[in-house]
Amino acid sequence: MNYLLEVRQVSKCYGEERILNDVSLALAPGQALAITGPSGGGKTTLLSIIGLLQQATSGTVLIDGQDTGGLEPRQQTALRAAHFGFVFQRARLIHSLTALENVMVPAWLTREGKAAAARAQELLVRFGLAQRLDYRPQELSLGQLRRVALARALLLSPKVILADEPTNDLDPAAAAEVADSLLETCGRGTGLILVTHDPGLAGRTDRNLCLEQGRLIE
Amino acid sequence: MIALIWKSLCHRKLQNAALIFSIAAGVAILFCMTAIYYGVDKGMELSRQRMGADLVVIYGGARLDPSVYLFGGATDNSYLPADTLEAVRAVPGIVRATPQFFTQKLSADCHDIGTKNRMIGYDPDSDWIVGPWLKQARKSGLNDHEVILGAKVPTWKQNRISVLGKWYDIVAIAEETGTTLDYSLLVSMAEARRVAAANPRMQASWQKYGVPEQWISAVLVQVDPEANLDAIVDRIQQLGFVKTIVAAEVKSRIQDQFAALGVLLGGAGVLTGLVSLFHLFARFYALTWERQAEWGLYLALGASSRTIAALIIGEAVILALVGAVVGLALGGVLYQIGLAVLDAYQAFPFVPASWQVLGILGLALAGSFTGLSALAAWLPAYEGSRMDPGTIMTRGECD
Repeated sequence: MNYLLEVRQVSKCYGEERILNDVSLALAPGQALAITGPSGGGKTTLLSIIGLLQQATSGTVLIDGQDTGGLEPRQQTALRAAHFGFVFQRARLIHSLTALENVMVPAWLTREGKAAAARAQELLVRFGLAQRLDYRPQELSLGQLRRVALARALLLSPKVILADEPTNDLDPAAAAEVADSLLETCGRGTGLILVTHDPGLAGRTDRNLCLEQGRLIE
Repeated sequence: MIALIWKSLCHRKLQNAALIFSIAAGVAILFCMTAIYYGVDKGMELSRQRMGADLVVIYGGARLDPSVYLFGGATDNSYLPADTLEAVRAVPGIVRATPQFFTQKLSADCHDIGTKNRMIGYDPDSDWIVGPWLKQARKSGLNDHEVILGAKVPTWKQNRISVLGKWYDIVAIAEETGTTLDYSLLVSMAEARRVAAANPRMQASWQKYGVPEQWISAVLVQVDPEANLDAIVDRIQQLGFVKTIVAAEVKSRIQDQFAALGVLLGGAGVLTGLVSLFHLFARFYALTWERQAEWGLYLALGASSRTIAALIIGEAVILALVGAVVGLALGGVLYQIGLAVLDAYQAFPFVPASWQVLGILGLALAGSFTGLSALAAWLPAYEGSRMDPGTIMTRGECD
């Protein structure tokens, strides 16, 4: 089977402490995968290693079958831009930019600005933010911030969305909106890995993994 | 990318305005101080090269600063008997001596050329002071309708000038000296005396003490380098009611003053420059450091290290260039004010910097400030770009 990505026996140590211990997983196109587990258990670290934001101490991450271990930072950046969309634990929007401009940032950085402008607006409209295009992050609610971050993650049509606690701090209605938006992307062939403490959200995914003491348990 | 730079600059309006003002102030002060220091230094250098009089003998009651006589064109109606010239020439150890005759200020004409300009009679045959300043070598002698102009005497016609109702042919223009000689009109001794004789305010003096032909204003003297200068000065003083200005002393005093001024001006300039540059470096370094989480986010979203560097350096260069341009404009205004002040209270020679020198100075300052700003902004970004994006994204966060 062709996987969008594979994680093979990845370990991560901070000094003497082993955060991840021989973790392996694979993600197929259109598949949604949830990772749950106690706080501080290494879920965010695993997501960062998968997204090439951090180096593993050992093990391999394959993206579209390509081993990323020996890649130069420049090549990793290109691969990251082409394959991943990130929804970080906090929205991480740029305060000097409006909602629409924040969504446009990946396009500006990869010089695809003009083609992406219409799509950025379309995504925000789809996520119910048609009236908030020109609002700055400090003028938006938590749920709206998360949806702007999700639109930013989807702008360049990534093959995989990595979402870290996307519904954290949200009220049930806002959490449901964000969850719907995320899961909707899987219907279009995009893979989704999300880290969550919300059993309800985890239960809506295709596969549910728990990270405990550095190991993934089905 | 340009959009990101522009949005970021617009978002931090107050911060950036303060930074631009800080750069502008530093550039302005450095530009003004350096240009003035250059002018004073060049003026002193020029005077060392070209001022030939070792002694200047004037009327004993003259009250102007000795340096005014030394560098030429004093605005002083004080006179010595004309035979003082021969008496001075007769003193052993004197190589040569030449007379000058000062007239009144030239403000009573329909073509008013300003109160600072003054007509001086000089003797081309015995002169060695004015000659070296002329742009073209001249045959000796001046007719009564001929004039040599100082470099800053205003003229309305190319070859002629009207002074006190009489038209003169301009036969030469002296090079800029940075002294009051620049505002002098040099004519023959006879013509200067004729002008002074016609001055209504001097009529009583001429009637009481005799016609101008019997008087001179100063004797400029060159002495034998081997001779005893003190003995020569004593002998001249014995001629009676004269004041002998020893050029070496005056030059030395002025140079001492200048050296002190130079230390103050140069020291203040260097300190200002260092403080400005250190401040700028620290500010840009801190600004970039504080925004490491933002650069980390850009890396995570697909920006290359080169793109991040271009963003950071682009912002820094724009701010520094705007600050430098504003600073150069302010510096130009300060410099003009400084020139006006020096012009009004000129006690030592000053040669204004040419446009070329000012241009090079401006470019050097703009380049230094911009380069340093770019470097200061780039260093922390470079350091950050060598880390994992995941690590750098968490920098600068409080939660």
